[in-house]
Amino acid sequence: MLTSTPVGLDEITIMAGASAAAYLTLEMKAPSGEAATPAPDRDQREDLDGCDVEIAEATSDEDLPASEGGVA
Amino acid sequence: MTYSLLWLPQVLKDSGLKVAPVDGWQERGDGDVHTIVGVICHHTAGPRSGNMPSLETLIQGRSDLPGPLAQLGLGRDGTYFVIAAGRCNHAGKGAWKGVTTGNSSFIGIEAENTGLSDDSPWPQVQVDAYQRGVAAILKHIGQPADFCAGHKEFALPAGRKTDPDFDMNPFRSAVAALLAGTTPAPRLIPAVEPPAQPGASAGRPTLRRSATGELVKQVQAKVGVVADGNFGAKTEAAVRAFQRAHGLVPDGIVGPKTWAALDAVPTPTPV
Repeated sequence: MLTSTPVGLDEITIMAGASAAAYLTLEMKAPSGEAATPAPDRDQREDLDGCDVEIAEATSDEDLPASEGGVA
Repeated sequence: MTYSLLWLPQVLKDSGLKVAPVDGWQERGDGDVHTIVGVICHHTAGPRSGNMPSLETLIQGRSDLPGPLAQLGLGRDGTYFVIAAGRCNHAGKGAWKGVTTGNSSFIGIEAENTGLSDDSPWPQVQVDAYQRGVAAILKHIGQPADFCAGHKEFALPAGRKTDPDFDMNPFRSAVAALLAGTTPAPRLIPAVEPPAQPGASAGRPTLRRSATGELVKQVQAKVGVVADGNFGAKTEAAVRAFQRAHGLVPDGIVGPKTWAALDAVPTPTPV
């Protein structure tokens, strides 16, 4: 069994004995037309940090969902 | 598609905590998580007023940063808002116990607090819920208290983050005591008022969102909303405001303490 990870795609597995043409077809389809933006890989997404962002519009108490629990 | 952390609300409820699932939480996430190894504690640095004013931002993110920004929001009244069952963009670059994949491997809790002196000390009900919620999660995943990190401890380079603005060491000690079972059980809101005297019948029931009937009308008349007998979001918000004005936990739930405070207020005469 062979494995490979093309840019912008998650891991692809090619079963032993399968034609490599299937792999090539996948790689050629991805950038068709306008230049495709590669999906961020796992490491880049780990760097995203939304803590302490500016609050554009505060959620009012009236817009909070109902709570459950906490009552004996 | 639902994500992996479907157990979150029940684990928190089973620990006696108030839990408010946000619509769509089961399918919300920036992909799915890896194996969860711990919890990272944050504060929102959001607005000073309101119970969980940062909630919508935690759900949606902002234009240049996709949400969700944490699996859980913790309101000032100690309610956990369950935002996402999948991966959230809360941690960023960092490391704790050798784990560097903060967004994929840690559950993020964003507790509502400005991080400023105007919002300190934190409400005791919120601190207690923070510790109990973290302990419940760590117990569920089979990890000790030191797998709870403050964002300021996880984030790299050192000093990149300052949240949460409390000392994590006593916090972890409290979590460890909860895990060891040496902390008293939480004090839940009684479902009914205790009898006025021994042998007397129990009093009024505790009321919260979705309750209906004559008692709800009495509450509504006292807090100044239309007395239609339906305990909806407007009534809950009015009850919270009443509770804040009377030094009670502003959770929008009418339990024995809130009933007593309401009794002390004359019902406004209709004009």
